[in-house]
Amino acid sequence: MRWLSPAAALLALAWRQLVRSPRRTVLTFTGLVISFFLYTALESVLYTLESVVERTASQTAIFSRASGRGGFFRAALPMRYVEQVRQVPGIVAASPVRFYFGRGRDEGSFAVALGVEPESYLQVRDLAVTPMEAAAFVKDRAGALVGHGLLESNGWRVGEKVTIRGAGRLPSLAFTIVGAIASDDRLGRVALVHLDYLEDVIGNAGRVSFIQARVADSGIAAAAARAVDARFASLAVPTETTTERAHLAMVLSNLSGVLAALRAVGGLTLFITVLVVGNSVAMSIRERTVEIGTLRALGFGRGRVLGLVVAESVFVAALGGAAGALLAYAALEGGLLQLPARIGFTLGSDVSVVLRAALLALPVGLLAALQPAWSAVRRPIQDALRAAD
Amino acid sequence: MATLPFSYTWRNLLARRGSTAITAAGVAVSVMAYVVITATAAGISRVAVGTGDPRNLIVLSEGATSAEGSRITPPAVEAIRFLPGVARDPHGTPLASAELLLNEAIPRRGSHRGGSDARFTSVRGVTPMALTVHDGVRVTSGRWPTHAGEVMIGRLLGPALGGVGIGDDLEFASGLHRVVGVFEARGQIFEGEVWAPLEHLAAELDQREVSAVVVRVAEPLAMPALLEALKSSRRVKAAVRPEPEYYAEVQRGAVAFVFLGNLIGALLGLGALVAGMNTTYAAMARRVREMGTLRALGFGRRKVGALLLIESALVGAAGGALGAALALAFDGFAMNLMGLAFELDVTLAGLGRGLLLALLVGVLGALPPARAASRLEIVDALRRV
Repeated sequence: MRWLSPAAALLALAWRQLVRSPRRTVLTFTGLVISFFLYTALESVLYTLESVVERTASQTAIFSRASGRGGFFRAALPMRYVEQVRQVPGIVAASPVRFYFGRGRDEGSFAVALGVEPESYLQVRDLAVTPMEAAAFVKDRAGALVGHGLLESNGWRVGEKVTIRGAGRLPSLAFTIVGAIASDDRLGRVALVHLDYLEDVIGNAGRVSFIQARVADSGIAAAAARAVDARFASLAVPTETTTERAHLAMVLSNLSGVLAALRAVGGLTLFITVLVVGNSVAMSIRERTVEIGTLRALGFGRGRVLGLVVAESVFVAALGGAAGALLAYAALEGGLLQLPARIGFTLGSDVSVVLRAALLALPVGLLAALQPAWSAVRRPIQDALRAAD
Repeated sequence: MATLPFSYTWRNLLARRGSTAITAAGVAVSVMAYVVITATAAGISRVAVGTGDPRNLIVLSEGATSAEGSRITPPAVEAIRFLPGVARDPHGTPLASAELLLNEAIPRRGSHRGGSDARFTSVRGVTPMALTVHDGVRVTSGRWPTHAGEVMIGRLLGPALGGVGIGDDLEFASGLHRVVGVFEARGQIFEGEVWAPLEHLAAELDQREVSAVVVRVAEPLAMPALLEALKSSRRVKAAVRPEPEYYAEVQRGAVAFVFLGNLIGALLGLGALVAGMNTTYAAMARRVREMGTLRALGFGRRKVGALLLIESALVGAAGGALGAALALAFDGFAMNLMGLAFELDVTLAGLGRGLLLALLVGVLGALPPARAASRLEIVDALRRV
C-alpha cells in the first residue's frame, strides 16, 4: 500500500488548496453540479427512449398485417391466415388480433380493446398477469385482462363489470375485468378481450387487424417474417410482416431529430463546463504564481506541481459531477422532474446512466486543469517569483 | 464627479480576454439552446395556427375525432357537395374537396419496408378541387399527379425522407409510387404530406369511402344554414368543425418543447450565472488596489461597484448576442417529428427572452461581488497587496 500515501498526500494538499478560497470552490462546485444535473437528465431521457426498444420489444415477436390497406388498425386480414401462419417453420404460436376503439372517460381520449384468441395469445406473449388471472381470462368469454393505466384512468377495479362506449358508430363493449396487466407492460393501457366475443358485439367477423406470432428463436425472427410474407404474396390480400424490434426501432427513428438535439445540448454543456472549470483553475493558479515559483525553487519537480493542480481540479469535478448526477437521478426517479402529464410519457433514469455521467467528471476535471497547469509549470522560476500580481 | 469613460470598462474586459471569452461563451450556449428549443415549439405552433382556412369546414363521419378514423360513403359525399351554403365556382361546381387520408410509415431513401428507417407520413388522396379549397397550395416543380402510382410531395417531406425528389419512388400502400411534383402550401401542415390522385389511391386500397370532405362556405352568413342542413340531413351523419380548429390540435405537440426549453434555459442560465460570478469575484480580487485608488480619487462607492456590474452586464450582453446570432442560423431548419413536418421558427419574442436571460445572468452574477467592492474601505484597499 505504499503508493497510497503519495496519493493521499496529494489529495490532502488539494483539499487544503480548495478550502483556501472557499468562495471560488463553492461556485465552481455549484456550476459543476448544475452542468452534470442537466447532462444526466438529458442522458436519462435519451436512455429511457432508446431502451424502450431493448427493454420492451420482444426478440421473438412478429406482426403480420394486410399489405397496402392503410394502417395497422383496419381489420383487413382474413382470419383463416392464422392457421397458415402457424404452419410456417419456426413459428411456435400465433393469435389473431382485432382493434376496437372506444371512447375514454375524458373528451377526446381513447379506450382501446384488443380482441384475441385467449389461449394462443397467452402463448404468443408473456403477459404480466398471474396464472390465476390468465386462467380466468381463458374461461370467461366476456372476461377481460385490463392494463393498469386504463384501470386507473377510469377508476375501475378487478372484478367489476364495465362498459366502454364505441368511437364513431361502433357499438358499446361490455366486459368483466378478470385481471390487471402490470403498468410496465406495453399493454398497460389496453383491455384484452375474447375475439369471438368482440366479433359478436361489432357484428362482423372473419377479418382481423393483424396476426401476432412468436418464433422459436430470436435469430430466425426476420427470416420467419419473410417466410410469412412469401406464403401470402400471390393471394388477393398479401401480408406485410415485421419483427416487433424493427417496428419499435422505426417508431423511434421518427424522433431522431429531437434525440440528436438533446445529445447536442448535453455535449455542449460538458464542453462549456470544461472551459468554465478551466477558467476557475486558471484564476486560482494566477493568484498562486509566486507560491508555485517558490515550490519549484524548493526543488519540487514540474510533475509534482502539475499533479497538485490537476488533483485539485479533478477532485472538485468528481465531487460536483457525482452530486449533480445523483441529484438528477433522485429528481427523475422521485418524479420531481417530469414532463406534463398530457404528453403521456414517463421519464426515468438508470444507475448505468448516473455512473457514466459521474465518471465523465474525471476527464472533465483533467481536461480543464491541463492547459492552465501546464503553462504555470512551464513558466521560468525567476519570472514566477518576481510576479507581483 | 465625472463618470468613468466607457473605454475603461472595455479595456478591463480586454485585459482578461480569456476569462471574458469563456464567460461570454457560457452565456451564448445557454441563450442558443433556449432560443433554438423554443423555436421548435414556435415552429409547431405556426403549423397548427397556420393550417386551415376559416372559410372552410371539415366534415367527418359521425363520432370520428380525426380524419384517419372517419369514413364517408360516395352518396354522402354527393349529398354534402350539394348542401345549401356550399360555395361554387363560376361553372357551378361546388367547392368541396373529398379527401382520403392515410397514415403510412414510408421508408427513407435507400431503405426498405419493414426496416427501421421510415417516417410516419400522411398520405392524402385528393382531386384537383383540393387546389381550390386549400388556399396557398401551389405546385412549385414538376406537375400534378394524374396517373395511378403517381404522387406529389410537400416541400418539407423530401428532406425528411432523406432527400427524396421528383423521379424517386415512395413505398407505401400496395407498392411503389413515383414522385412527379413538389408543392408548397404557405406553411400549412400539407407541406409534410404526400398527395395522390383520389381515385387511384382508393382503388389501390380497395375502398370506396373517403375520410373527409372539406367544403368552402359561400359566405359567413351561410354558415349557420349549412350547419343546420348537415345536422338535419338524413343521408349524411356527420361531425363538422371549422378547418382551423381541427388543425389547432397539432399545437399539443409544442407543449413538451416549451417545457424543455424553459428547463434547459433555466439550468444553463444558472450555470452561466455561477461561472460569471466566479470570474467577477476574481476580477475584483485582482483590482482591489485599483478600486481603492479610484475611491481615493473621489469616485463614489456606487460608481466603483457599478464598474463590475457594467462589465459583467456587457459580457452577458455580448454572450447573449452571440447566442442569438447562432440560434438565428437554425431559423427555417426543417424538422420532422412523428409525422409532423415543420420548420424551426426563431421568433422575435424568443430572441428577446433569450437576450433578457443573458442580461439577467450578467447582472445577477455580478451583484454580490459588486456589493463587496462598493463596501471596500479606501485605506484597506490601498494597503492590500
